[in-house]
Amino acid sequence: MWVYDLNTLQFLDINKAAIVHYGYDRQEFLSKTLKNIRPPEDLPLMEAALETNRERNSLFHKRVFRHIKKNGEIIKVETESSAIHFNEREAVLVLVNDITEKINYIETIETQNRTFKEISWIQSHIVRAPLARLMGLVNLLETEIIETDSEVSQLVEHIKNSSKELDDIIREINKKAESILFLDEN
Amino acid sequence: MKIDPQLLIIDDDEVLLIILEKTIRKVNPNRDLLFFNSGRSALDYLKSTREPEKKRLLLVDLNLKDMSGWDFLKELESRNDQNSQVIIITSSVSSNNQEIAKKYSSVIGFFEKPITFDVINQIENIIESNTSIS
Repeated sequence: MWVYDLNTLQFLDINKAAIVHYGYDRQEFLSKTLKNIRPPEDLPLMEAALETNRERNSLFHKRVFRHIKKNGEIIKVETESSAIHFNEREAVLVLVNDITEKINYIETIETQNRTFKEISWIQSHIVRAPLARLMGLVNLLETEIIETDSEVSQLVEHIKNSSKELDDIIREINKKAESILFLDEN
Repeated sequence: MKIDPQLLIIDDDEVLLIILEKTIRKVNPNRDLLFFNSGRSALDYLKSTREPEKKRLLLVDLNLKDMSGWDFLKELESRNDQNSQVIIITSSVSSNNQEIAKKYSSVIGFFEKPITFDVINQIENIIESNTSIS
């Protein structure tokens, strides 16, 4: 948690948790501005967000940003801000939550879901194509063989049953994979 | 004598084409049958042989080597050819294919492979009910 000057962006006060988490001591922190705790490549993003705040007076929304600790480690944080007066200056009070782990976890799951999508596509198209061919051939074979040759008829019947089994399994897997897809798209 | 409608099979699976030819000939030996192993070759053929009264039924696979069955349909429908109708065949079993097929007005049927005698008979029935309406 901290307070910064709305106009100069300088830190006006910080709590112990911030000191511990970011690695700067109290004195160091108070000599810094918001710009110092953002990765340099994110500064345009920060300017844009501040601009939106000023225009819409919208300090109150939770936002996610990247911050950088003293040791250079980049973390992802969720901030909640409110406008206050601090020592007669226009200031902003910010609650900061480090959600790096949560976000990484979500990203891992999303990557996995993408993989599932791929597997499901391979399943439903590529795996099934030769099976469909097989089943088509067996159907044709059935009509070409002489009815009286019961041994061959039986073998064909077995082939037919096995392919049907395989088909059922593929459809089952496909159904499961498709249910994952819809969760993801929500 | 070859009877209408002309049946165009558009699929790049060679084994399937063999199966289809044999099956269709057993069910209806008089069908005017043509085979295409790419979407482009079928589209070009249709363009160059467009006749006002010639009715055609296209069996289109969703996974062609040069385009998807959907791209084929888009191009076909952009030509406003009222005489060409489509039945989609596919070896994939994902459920939204059938939903997508409904959006195309030229599609009058949808079947999953393998194309069995049963399926061919169903297609013949579709043809029959179509010709009796028109």
